[in-house]
Amino acid sequence: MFVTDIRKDFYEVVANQRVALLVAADIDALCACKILQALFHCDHVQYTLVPVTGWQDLCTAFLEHKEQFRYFVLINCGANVDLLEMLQPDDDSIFFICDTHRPVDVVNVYNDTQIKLLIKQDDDLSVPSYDDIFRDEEDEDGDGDDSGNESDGGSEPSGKRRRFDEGAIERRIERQRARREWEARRREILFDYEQYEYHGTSAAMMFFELAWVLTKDTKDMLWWAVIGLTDQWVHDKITHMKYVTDIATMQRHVSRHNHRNEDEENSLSIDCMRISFEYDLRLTLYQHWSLYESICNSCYTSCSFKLWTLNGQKKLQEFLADMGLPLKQVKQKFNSMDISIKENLRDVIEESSNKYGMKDIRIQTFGVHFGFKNRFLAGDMVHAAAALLESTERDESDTTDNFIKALDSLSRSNIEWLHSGIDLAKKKLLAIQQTVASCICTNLILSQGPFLYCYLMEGTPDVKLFSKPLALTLLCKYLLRAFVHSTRNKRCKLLPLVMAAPKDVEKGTAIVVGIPPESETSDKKNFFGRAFEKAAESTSSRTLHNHFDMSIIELKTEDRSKFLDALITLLS
Amino acid sequence: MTSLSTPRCFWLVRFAARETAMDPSEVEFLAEKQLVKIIPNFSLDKIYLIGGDLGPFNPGLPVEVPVWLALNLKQRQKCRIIPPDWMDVEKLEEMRELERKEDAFTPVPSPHYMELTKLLLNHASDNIPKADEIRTLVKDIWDTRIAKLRLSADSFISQQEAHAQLDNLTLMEINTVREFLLDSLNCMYKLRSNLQPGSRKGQLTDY
Amino acid sequence: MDTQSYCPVPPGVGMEENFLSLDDILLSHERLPVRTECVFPRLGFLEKSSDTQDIPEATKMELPLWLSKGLYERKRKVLSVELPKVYREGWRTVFTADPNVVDLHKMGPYYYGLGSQMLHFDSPENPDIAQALLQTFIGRFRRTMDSSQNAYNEDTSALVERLDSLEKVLFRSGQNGLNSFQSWEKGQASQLTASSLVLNYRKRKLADVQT
Repeated sequence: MFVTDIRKDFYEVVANQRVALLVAADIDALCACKILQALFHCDHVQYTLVPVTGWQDLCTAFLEHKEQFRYFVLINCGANVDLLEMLQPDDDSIFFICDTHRPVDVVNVYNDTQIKLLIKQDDDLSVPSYDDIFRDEEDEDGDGDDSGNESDGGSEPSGKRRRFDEGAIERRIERQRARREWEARRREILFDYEQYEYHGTSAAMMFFELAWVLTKDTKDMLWWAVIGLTDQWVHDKITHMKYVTDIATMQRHVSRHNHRNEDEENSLSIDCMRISFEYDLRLTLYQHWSLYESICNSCYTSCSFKLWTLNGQKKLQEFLADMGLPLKQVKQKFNSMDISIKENLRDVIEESSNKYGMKDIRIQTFGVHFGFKNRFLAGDMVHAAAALLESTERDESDTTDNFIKALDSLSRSNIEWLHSGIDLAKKKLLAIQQTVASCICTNLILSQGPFLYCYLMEGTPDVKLFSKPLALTLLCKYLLRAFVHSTRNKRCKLLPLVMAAPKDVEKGTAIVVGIPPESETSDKKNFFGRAFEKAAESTSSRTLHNHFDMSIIELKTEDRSKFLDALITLLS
Repeated sequence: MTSLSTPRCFWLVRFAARETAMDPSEVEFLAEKQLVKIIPNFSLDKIYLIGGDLGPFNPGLPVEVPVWLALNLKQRQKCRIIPPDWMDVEKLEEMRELERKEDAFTPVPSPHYMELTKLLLNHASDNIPKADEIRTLVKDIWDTRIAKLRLSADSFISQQEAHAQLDNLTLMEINTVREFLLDSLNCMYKLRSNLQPGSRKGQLTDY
Repeated sequence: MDTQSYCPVPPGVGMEENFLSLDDILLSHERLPVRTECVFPRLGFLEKSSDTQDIPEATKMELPLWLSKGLYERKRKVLSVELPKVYREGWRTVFTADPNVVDLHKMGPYYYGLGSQMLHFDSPENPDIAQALLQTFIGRFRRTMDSSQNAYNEDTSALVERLDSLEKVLFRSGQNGLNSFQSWEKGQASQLTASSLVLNYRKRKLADVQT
């Protein structure tokens, strides 16, 4: 069921209990977790934090902790499957689920006792009504008897009598027909409801609102909520419309917080955190890089210029000349650029970008600064934390370590880690850009009819990096965008992309991701989740649906071609 | 010559535990016992602790608590800290001028002014108006006093005084030069005792 | 707070020595120029420059401090000790002029210690030596103090280079005070770090797993 009063029905319930926090490995979940941890810290709530990367992890984590805990808080996982079916918990275990994954499983929605959904109902949910998908037990029982073994009808005298009644038989047939119809309709409704995967309001924002209701919201929490929202935008989970709306919500909170100190504005210590609304450039990490490298490695600019071509490089030089920025300045660290250039840099770039057809080089976002030299944009924080989360610098077994590191990098007291995350993010972006360029130049993207397909060969540079879901999704997004910009085939521009990359060479598995078509008005709804499931079922391919996003699966490399064929027939 | 090494070498054991200065964080720990006013946002009856009774806490009503508790409550967003009276830009500016004018150490507003400034500014800077200026002023005062301390230590040594008064010095200030000063004075004492002949005869028979 | 498992015993300075002080032990090996006042029978092997079986009277040789001190007696002259150069009149004037210009490390490095030990041997210059030692210390004190209290986070080897071993100890304790204060001020003292024992243990466990 949906929790309507998050304070009374969630926070006050868990406030005196020990709680298990099961947190998925994405940045929004990290931020939500940070906010909740801060709240728990205020009220001395004991909790155990368990990072989970997939369904298998979730099950093990639950089994390990079910003896000690009654209350489980699931962040960004658990809403889109029948959780009780999956975990088989005792009757007194209670799950609070704050998850952006949609559609929410109907059983979760209509379970009143054990499943409490911390999800805003004004999100575009369109859950089918109860009567459409569930029938009363009585009816079901009656039906079961009717269609089942006739001989045991003796226990029900009224049924027995009816059997010899002509009218009764007719009624029964009638009823069976109605039931079949109802079931067909139910399937249809469920199919429509479950067909597309998409994402709802950020979990971090949900918990920030909880903090606000409790009047315990701080600027740190507000900042985490902003990062959570920005993560959804960076990893392309929500529509532009939704992003703008949610940004406006955050903007209200930001001005409320800034207003609080207004009377002594000039006296607020420099060490205090300041969050400001920015209409900033869509250049990734430019404040921590050089402007040139940032332009080269940002998806938006590199696709617009088609930087993988010679012509594109020429165009970039023209663009820089048009802005009147000397190469020497552009190629040095942003921090060391001339103050005079930096002053109205954003306007200068916007003006020139307009000439080059990049109409929306600027985007509404937030920045933070504290101390004298620490300035960060929300988007850059997301990239840094994601790079830490999926760092491949060390062994595979260090997922928990990576999780903790990424979590810590969000605190102000761990600036060094944030900086190391930024360095990793730069490497990641470079790798993405190089892979995109080589895929486009060597025509690795094949049109399969209903969708585009690209397979990263084992041995491609940085292929290890792309065995991680977030990095591969980001690569997919960049690649599709680049492809749309480079292809002349109009039909291909509207196709979704399926991408596969080797995951584990020894086990012979590949990770497969499907993303919806790239367009300005895209609703970001993804049908690959169900399609993958069906294709795997029909070909009995050995797949593993372990990721919380259904559209990310693992697949035995040998089964790749038959899986693909099934997918093509399914979607044509 | 090496064959004639002294037998003492074989007796080398860790023997003397030298008296060392306190660690600054230990001094800070002592400072946390100072009282500071807070405005709580919760209500709680009086609590009785070995160190003294605290409270009662009523929302909006100022109450005096030790710094350690104030910071804990502040971090859990359960109170607002009212900075001590002396933590005020004008008062501190006056103090700094006085400190610079006088040759001797002037009285400080709190025996733990440095520690309190650091604790409160680091953890509750949003409750303290003009926090940055206060930080600079206190650091100025500290630097002036430490320079004075060094000057007087030097004159103390060069004039071979027998005792010095440490009026108005705080624990933290003494603590930073303590080890150095004590060691130096010990050395000087021994070098001075060389000047008095007479004990030499007894010394020699020891060997 | 750094806990040291080893606390060095400080040197005794003055005329007494600290039995367990490493510095004093090293000091006692300083060689002194001596002149034998009687024959040392069958000790010729100590004197490498001659082949005689005994060390004859009035031989000039160098003996370590501890041996000279043991052999020296005022009543029966066994040997006479000559003052090392730095304690003689000429150098003393240099020290009084400006003690700061002298490289005591090169001169010593146990200038104060050896100087004090020299007072064991009767010499009319003894009061002057003692006075010179004290004045040198006082004269150089300000410099030692200032450099130890101001050198934060920099290479101190240049500052320490010209210090006597005694002054080095003082310099180090001055630095200790400064460093611990600075790390407190920057908030490093409040950060908890895993003990090296724990880290090593984890490493070892990992290594065990891999093998």
